[in-house]
Amino acid sequence: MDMGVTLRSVWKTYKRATVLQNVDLDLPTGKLVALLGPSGSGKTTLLRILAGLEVPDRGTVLFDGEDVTRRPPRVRRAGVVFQQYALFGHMTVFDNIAFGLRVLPRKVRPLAWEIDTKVRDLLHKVRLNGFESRYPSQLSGGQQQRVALARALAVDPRILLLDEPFAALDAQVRLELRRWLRDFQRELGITTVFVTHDQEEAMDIADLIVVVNQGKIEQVGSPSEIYERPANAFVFEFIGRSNVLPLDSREGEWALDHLFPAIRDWISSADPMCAYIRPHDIEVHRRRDRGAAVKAVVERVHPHGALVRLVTRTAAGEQRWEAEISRDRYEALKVKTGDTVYLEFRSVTVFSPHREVVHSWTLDPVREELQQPQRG
Amino acid sequence: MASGLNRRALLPGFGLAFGVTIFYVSVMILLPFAALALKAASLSLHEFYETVSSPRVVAALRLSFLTALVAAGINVAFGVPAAWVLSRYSFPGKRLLDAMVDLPFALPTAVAGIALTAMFGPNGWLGAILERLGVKIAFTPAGIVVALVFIGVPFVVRTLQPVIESLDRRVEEAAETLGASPAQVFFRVILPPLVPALLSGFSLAFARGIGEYGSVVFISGNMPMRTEIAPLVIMGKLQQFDYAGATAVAVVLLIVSFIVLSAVRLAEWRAGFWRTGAR
Repeated sequence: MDMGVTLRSVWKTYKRATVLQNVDLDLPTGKLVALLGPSGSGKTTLLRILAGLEVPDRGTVLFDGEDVTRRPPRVRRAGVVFQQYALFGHMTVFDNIAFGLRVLPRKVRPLAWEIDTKVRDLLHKVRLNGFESRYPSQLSGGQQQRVALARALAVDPRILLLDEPFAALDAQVRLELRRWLRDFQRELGITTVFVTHDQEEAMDIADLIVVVNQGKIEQVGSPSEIYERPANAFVFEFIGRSNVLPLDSREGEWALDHLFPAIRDWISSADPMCAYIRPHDIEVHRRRDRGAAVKAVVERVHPHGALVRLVTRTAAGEQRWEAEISRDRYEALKVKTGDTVYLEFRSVTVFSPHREVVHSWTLDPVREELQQPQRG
Repeated sequence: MASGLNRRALLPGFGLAFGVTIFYVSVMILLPFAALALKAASLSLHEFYETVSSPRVVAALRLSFLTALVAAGINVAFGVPAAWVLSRYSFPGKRLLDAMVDLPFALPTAVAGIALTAMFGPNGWLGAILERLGVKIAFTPAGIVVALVFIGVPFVVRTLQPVIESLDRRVEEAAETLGASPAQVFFRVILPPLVPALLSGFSLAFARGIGEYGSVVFISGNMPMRTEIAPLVIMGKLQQFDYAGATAVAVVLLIVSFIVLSAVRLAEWRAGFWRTGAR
């Protein structure tokens, strides 16, 4: 039998806007999955379809092989934690958590003492002992979120869905709570999907990241796969910082001639390409000592903890390059604003910006060898 | 509850605002009531008791309170769906319907009374149909209730509307994902937060019903002991220059109204305790 949660060619349209186009997705049982994408990408709609709060126009939703596409939310057993938690303000914490058990039909409803035991157990699990008679308005954002989580878990859901779970929290609490959530999810082993627009959050805790953009899935993979082998230009740019060099520009032409001539063969004028370079893949030198390098002037210096970010502009003035170097390297170089530096690229990825046609090559000009081309 | 004295206020001077409030309430509400009480005090305790315990006055007072309570209750029952539809859905003619809710506010109540009598009277088109079915509305207590329902509509709808608009739909969705049926969502999730506003609307409609005169006199028939309301008894006493007697009835009307309104207010506060957590 098919295990886990599966979406098959799901389409969703609101009025005239297509929100999801032909989405196929397999969510393995027990994993923590991030739906990552910019706002308006359709990731929340995807979550709502999983919850049963939206019905897709076409396609099917399977829970453990069972078609639940048209099942209303109340029989689907998908636990949902909403963005602003959506707690019942007129009920105590205890009553909020007990809600899902108390609305069960009399025949299957647990006895009062069973409900009591279960709620206390959940309170303990989400570390809210002693808060049972408080009202939601008397709790902090982080506490409210844990109530929402406990409430969703009370009905033993088949899948746990969280909509932007950390967006409304302070930076400090956010970091703490997301690590806690990851550990908690591992402990429970329940398939969990959370929506986020924060790639760092997804990278930090997810087992699997689903990158969503304009109603389509761009890539599905582990955080390291997504970062190291982005499928296309969108994923590359969305995950982490990047420098983009259009290869049909004057500086692009120069770079093709002097820095990565091997790419030349792959380029056709009908298919304009861009070179993408991560800031940490740029080596900064004070003098041109070996090989070819880009000459640039330092515009700004931003220290970021152990790293220093240099914003430079090429001598011709058209292209801006952002480089990230270690603090040690920065101190050895002693660069400051206005200095001339030479940039050497360690790794370059070339994509067609056309979303439908995606080619990518990663090469390492330092070792001057072309790596195996990777098909995205 | 929130203390106005300890918190730094946004508007300058709690003292000034408080003074203005006290002045306003005193001049506009307390003084007239004091004058009323003073007038009633011109009667001896015995005379006062005699006046307010005469069968005709007691019947009128009882009729006034009962019809006002029933009418406010009906308005609550129908005001919830009306306010719900007006704040949750959009449909053609919504603005028109929304504006119509306020009409009973604007209409001179005598006009409303004449219109209702024309409709529900034995010769009115609705009254004639009902009469054939053996139901009499005009010139019975039921007619009074109809008039009071009419003038009380806006109170319940207008107090509920903003509260319904402020309800978070995600809360209903959350209840749904937790397995609640539509009825359970309504009674356990939607209705409880509406209770304070419902009680406010109820007490406003009730208070308005107690004092209503213009629209009732036409449809009630004003038969002593049967369809004569307390404000009419007061008017009758005034027309006979029995000012002290009129104020005596008015004082009883006021005291009972005040007790009922206070009780509703207390219930409203208790129903809204979860906003602050204070019991």
